[in-house]
Amino acid sequence: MRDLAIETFIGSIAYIVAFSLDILVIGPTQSALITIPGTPTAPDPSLLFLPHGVRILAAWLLGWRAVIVLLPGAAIMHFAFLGIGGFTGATLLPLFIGVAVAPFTFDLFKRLGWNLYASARAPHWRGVMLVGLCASVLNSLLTNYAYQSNVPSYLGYLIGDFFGLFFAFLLLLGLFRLYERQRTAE
Amino acid sequence: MKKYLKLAQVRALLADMEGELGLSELSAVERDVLYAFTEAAERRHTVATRDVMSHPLVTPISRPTIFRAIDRLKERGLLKHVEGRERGLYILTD
Repeated sequence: MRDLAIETFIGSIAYIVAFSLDILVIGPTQSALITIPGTPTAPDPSLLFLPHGVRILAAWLLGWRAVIVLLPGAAIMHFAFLGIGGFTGATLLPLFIGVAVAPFTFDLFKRLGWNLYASARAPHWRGVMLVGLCASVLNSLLTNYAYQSNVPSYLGYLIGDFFGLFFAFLLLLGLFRLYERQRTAE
Repeated sequence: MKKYLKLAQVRALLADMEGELGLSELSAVERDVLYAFTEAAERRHTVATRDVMSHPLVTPISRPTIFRAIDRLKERGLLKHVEGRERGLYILTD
């Protein structure tokens, strides 16, 4: 129980930090540089959606436990974006879809004979990226169906999830290297 | 220990990505040895060199190469020798 509480704290904080970076840094930079054609509703989908990286890493490490771990952080950000109105009817669906789609996809791959969970085999980065892409397709289809979005938005979310996952990996890589250099220098 | 294991698993995944993208600061042997340590650490906190040597990824590698890889992983702070214990016992660092 204590482990789950710690995991939930770390996972939700990571999700909130990733989402905040997206809203406060990546989103404004993207808006200043490009406009996605055919997406009349503001804001445009983020083309570097870091929370997808958090979702995939959490599901890779924890399986379905990732849903519990990420739900508080996802709910806080859902509230920050949509207010109390985001917790009624169809607008509530994307909250659950967002956190459940990654473990669902890992499970689907496992049932098809390719177990890519962290505990199952040597880490396979390309495999995890493939799961991330498939999870993104599912997430994009389901979320945009719930929000009744148009085709450019579907594509925007898809691109954002994939590059967000890749960039999240690079960010982690950079952080680990920085940490190792600092420790070596001490 | 469990939290260190998760961290080690993430590091091993990132090491695989580094290798595939040509960004690696670790050689292929060092990555394999690190992964063998990570997997052995799932079973017990301290990992003996003999457990790593029997790992399928590591068995084809010569002993001197494995020990050089362990030294390099120690230098990079990824492994730590367990002080005051028999030679060849390590823990994964946080």
